[in-house]
Amino acid sequence: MGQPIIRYCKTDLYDRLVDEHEIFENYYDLLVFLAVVGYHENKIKRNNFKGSSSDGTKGEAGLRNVHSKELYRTVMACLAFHHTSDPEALVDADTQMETLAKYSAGGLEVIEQEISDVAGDPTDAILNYIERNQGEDSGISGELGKIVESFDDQMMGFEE
Amino acid sequence: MQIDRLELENFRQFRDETIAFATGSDRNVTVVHGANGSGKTTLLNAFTWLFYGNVDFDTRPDRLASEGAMANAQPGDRITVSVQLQFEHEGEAYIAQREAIYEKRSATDFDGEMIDSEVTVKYRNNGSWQPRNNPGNTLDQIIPERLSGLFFFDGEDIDELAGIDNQDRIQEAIQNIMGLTILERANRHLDTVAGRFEDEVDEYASDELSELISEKRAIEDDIEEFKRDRDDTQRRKERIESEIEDLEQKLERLDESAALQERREEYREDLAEVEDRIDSLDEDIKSQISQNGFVPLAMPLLKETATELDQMREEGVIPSELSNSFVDSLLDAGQCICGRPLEPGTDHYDKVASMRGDTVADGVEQSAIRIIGHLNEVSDKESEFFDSVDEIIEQRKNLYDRRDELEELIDEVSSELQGMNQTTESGQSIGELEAKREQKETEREESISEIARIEERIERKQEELESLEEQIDEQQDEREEALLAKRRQKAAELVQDELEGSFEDLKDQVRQWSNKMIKQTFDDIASKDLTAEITDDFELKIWQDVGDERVEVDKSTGERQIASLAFIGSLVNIARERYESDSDSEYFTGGIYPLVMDSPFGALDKDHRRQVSKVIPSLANQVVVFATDSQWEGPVEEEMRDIIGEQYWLDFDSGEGEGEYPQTRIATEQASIRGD
Amino acid sequence: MRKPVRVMTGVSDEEVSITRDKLVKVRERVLEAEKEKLHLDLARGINDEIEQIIREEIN
Repeated sequence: MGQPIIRYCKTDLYDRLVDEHEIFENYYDLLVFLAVVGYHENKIKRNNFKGSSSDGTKGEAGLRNVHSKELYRTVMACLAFHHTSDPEALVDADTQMETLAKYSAGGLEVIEQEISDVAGDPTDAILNYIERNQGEDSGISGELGKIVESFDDQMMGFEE
Repeated sequence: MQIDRLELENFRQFRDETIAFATGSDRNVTVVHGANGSGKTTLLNAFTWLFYGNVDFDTRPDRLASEGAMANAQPGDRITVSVQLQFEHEGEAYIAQREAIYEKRSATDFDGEMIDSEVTVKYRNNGSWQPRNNPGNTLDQIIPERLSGLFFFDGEDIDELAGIDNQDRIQEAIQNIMGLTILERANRHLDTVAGRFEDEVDEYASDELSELISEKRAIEDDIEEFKRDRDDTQRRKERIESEIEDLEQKLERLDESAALQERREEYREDLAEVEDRIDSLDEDIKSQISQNGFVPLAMPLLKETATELDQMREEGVIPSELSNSFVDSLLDAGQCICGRPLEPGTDHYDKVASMRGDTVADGVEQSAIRIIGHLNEVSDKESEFFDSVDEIIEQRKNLYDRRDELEELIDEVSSELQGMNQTTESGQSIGELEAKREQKETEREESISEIARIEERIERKQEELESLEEQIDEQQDEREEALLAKRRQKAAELVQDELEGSFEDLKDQVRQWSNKMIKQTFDDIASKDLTAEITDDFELKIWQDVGDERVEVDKSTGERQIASLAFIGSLVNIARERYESDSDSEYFTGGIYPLVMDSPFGALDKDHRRQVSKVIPSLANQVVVFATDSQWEGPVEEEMRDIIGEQYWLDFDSGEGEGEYPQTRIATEQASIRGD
Repeated sequence: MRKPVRVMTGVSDEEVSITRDKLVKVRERVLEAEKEKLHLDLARGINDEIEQIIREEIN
């Protein structure tokens, strides 16, 4: 009651991956996942990304629920920043919500395509997709590593 | 017996003909040439008619009198049919004659009615001919009718001797030639007579003895019955045993089937377990995806953002101080930006709290800081995700393999079971079959005990019998008549015993002699490593040497005929040897016989004809052979040329013309040579 | 048919005594009788004849 609502396009995919095969625990888990897929494929739906009640694709997710996972909060902020290139986006909930929905709608089409020829449980297909499309290097190294370090203790003034 | 001369009058197509037989010791063969239908068989019949009044004609057997004679006669006239044989036997000269008188009844009657028939035998006694009182008997004693088939035979019958299942004929021939028939019959008759005397004993016996005798008979009956029971029970036992075997087979199949089913069950359980584990791993994967699946894809986003923010910070776009509200929220959350928990009252807490106070743009930098702060975590999470997932996948793969393996095993067992179920009876469980088998076992054991019981009974009865017989023998208080009858019975039995033994011995003795001669004959003439013998069972068999073994030969007609001839020859020889030997035979004196053979070459090929021809002269003192031209020419003529004593040709005139009737003349030269 | 297993050596129980000679005589006569009837297929009366022989010889 009263929390901000993310409006997104919720197709049968959600039924299949969340309800039927329980690959994602909550709708918003899938929502975020699809958003990063959208980011990765650079697919974004600028219009009609909220779903419509006429074709039963109206999806609503409470922001606070999504924020229950810290990392999701981070992802939403990054995504909004990436999309607008405006640092203010890092704290703009509305922008973040909309951005999330847009990218999610884009990712939706990608994943729908990806598992369209899979009958039954598409877990392995999803997994394959993730493995195929993971970032080049994992782990933080080089300059970035330094940044991480400096932000950390330097910020806190704990450097001895 | 030596035959000298045969005269025929009005005997079928022989109106008035004579044959003089060869009687020499080296040229002892008489050959009669004649085409089929010219009268060869009739000549043979002349002998048997003369001796025994028997004829065996294919056509018109009742018409004995010559057609020509009948034709020339008037109704009411009588025609005499006669066959006369001059012969010698045991040093005496004989003339035997059979006459039959036929009356022509009408102009068209050619059979005639026989109104008289007579056989006479005369012998020369001191220069004059004396009649024999019992001519039929005399003749039969010279060549007994039962032997006649051996000495007057149709060549076509000859191979029957060596045929299958002809042991009886062979035994009969042996018995006959040696007079063993006498023994065999005496045996039987004595048994009957002994039985008669026993009845007499019974009749005259004291009550006691009488009773003993009927007891004895009753026991004998009992024994027979017991033996029947025993045999029945024996058969029953065998039946049960085969039923048991059957059941055991079924059980075996069911046992195998049960074992297989158990194994399959195990496999199925394993499979279920494996599938459960696979399911669980699948769930683990899902869980990972749900929780961290986004991470690998989000990682570049975070990195990118962090890099940009850092740049912005350097450019001064983002303040680097912490905002108040941010610190507040940190304190609220109990968490330091560095991730360390904030405990009120700690130095750390105070330090962070002391950072409050500066007023900077709210939120952005916290966000930036948070983002950057998360990078490590994200990185760890990413590794964790892949490590976990990889391991799960690996485990799952192994389980997939195991699942495939188990499925294959289950299939194998299932098809094996299917194969078995088709052969076992449906609907019978192991339990049922087991029960049935036990029951049958019990039955079987019962039948065994029963057999033993019965045999015990039989034994006891036999003991009783023996003791009764002793008692009967020892009966003291017998009446004279009974005693006498007893002695007579005993006499009959004892003589029977001895004759029985001698009979068997002699039969075998003759068999052995015959064997020797047959072997010799065969060795002399037959080719291809063949031997012939009469077995212990009186079968005439022909053997061939094959390597180290000998194999019974499926006799060709040729070999059969030779073997049969050799056999007859051996008997004739044995008879002759008995006759000529000095030893006093108790049973039979042997004898000398001629052989009269109608077409012995009939069904033979050239080689076999040659061989038979070689054998013929040695078969008997006198041999008479009938042959057609085609049978004669070639090897037969070659072989026999030098041993022919007399030769005749049957000149047959079919009498087709008006007033002509069939007639055969016996000529001493071939018609062509005579120029008729 | 019975199968007694006794040797024809004559029997000398008290009552049932038969000498060897007697037995031979019986045997010879029986064989003679059979010989005469040899040519007949059905030897009628041969049993009677044999019975008679034995009666005559054993008395």
